[in-house]
Amino acid sequence: MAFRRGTDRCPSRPVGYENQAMTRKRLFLLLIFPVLVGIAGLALLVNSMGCNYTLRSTHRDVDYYGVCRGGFVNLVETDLTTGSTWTVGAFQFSLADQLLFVVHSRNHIRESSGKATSVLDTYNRSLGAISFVNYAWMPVGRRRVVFFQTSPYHDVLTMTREGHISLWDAYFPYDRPAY
Amino acid sequence: MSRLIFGSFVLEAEIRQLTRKLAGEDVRVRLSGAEVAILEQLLANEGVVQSKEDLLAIGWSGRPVSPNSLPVAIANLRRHLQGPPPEVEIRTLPREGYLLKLASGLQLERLADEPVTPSENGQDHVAAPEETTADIPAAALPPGVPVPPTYVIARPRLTTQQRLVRLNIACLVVVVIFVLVTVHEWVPVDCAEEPRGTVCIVDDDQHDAAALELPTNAGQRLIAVSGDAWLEIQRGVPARDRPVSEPARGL
Repeated sequence: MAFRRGTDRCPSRPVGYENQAMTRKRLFLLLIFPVLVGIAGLALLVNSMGCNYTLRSTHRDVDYYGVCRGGFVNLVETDLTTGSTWTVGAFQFSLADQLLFVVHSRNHIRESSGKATSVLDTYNRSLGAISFVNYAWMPVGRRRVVFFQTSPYHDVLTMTREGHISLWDAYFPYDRPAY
Repeated sequence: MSRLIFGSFVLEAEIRQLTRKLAGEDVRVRLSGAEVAILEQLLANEGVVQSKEDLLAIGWSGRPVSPNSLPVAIANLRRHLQGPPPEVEIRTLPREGYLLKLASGLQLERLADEPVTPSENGQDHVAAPEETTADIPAAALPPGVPVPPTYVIARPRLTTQQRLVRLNIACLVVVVIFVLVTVHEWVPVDCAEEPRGTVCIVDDDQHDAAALELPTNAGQRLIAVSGDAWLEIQRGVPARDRPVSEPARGL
């Protein structure tokens, strides 16, 4: 036998329906901000993990060769004057044209050939186990990239790259300035 | 972990178990989460009428439920708590709610040391008596006088809404920190086309780009500037830079 809605046997709305509807709406509103923050954080992480490149440069007598796969960067730095060589491991965060490297390891893999102390030795030994380094980058050619740094001092360096810096860069490459 | 003892019954809320000790034998019943929450609320407010709306909100955390859910849960509790001998009675007060009556006292027994802290908002819903024989020596009391119970305030159970509010606050703190760090670490680069080429400069208040001695001859080139350092790039020509006094550093 079927009950008609609105009767005592089959009320059209359950007990406390109004309060429950308001509570449900309030819970939904409270969920919006954390969900948006989570999505933004996930997008940042996925974009950063989309890196797939190699970088090479010689800048002031130091040779750099770096590889980034899945957000993890390994950089080999060689002082051409003394032969001292370091490897640096970092995780790369990429947001727009900014790069933040969270360095987690520094290993001295080859000592200087002479008695002179390499500038790389001084720099790498002066930093802690975990450090942060940030750059702005700009493509200036098919393979050439300029990196701007402001900390700990201002500098500009150019590197040759193969591949893309981030997932966004892979699908929507940044415009190169006209020159 | 704690348990509520009333008469021959023992309620262990954490594991949703109601045990009755009858003639040296334990009869155990597994309760639903809603039944445990409702029974806790009724026990904590023994002799005080609890409205249906409150019990619905406590039992199901505000989730919409059918109109029969509460009566069914109460009926289940009555079935589990029925005598003989009658020790617990749950009365239905029409248009008011439910009322629990105990034939004996209620004890809260903590099996492990738990920090007991009063809540800031004073909305603690469990105020259960606890045996305090350790605090009051039995010898200090006249014979036949029961040890008076003291009341402890149990840690309030957070509702879903309270958890979400805390989650929002945590997210807000994370966002504020992220924004502050990003603004502080951001390296803004502005490019402008000039007669000598395209000049891209790191926007920095501490350095005056006009005071720099940049290449002035006209030509198709890009000049990248950061502070006192600059780099001249021309197509097919190796980059030419003005080194700064600092050595190279890498990452």
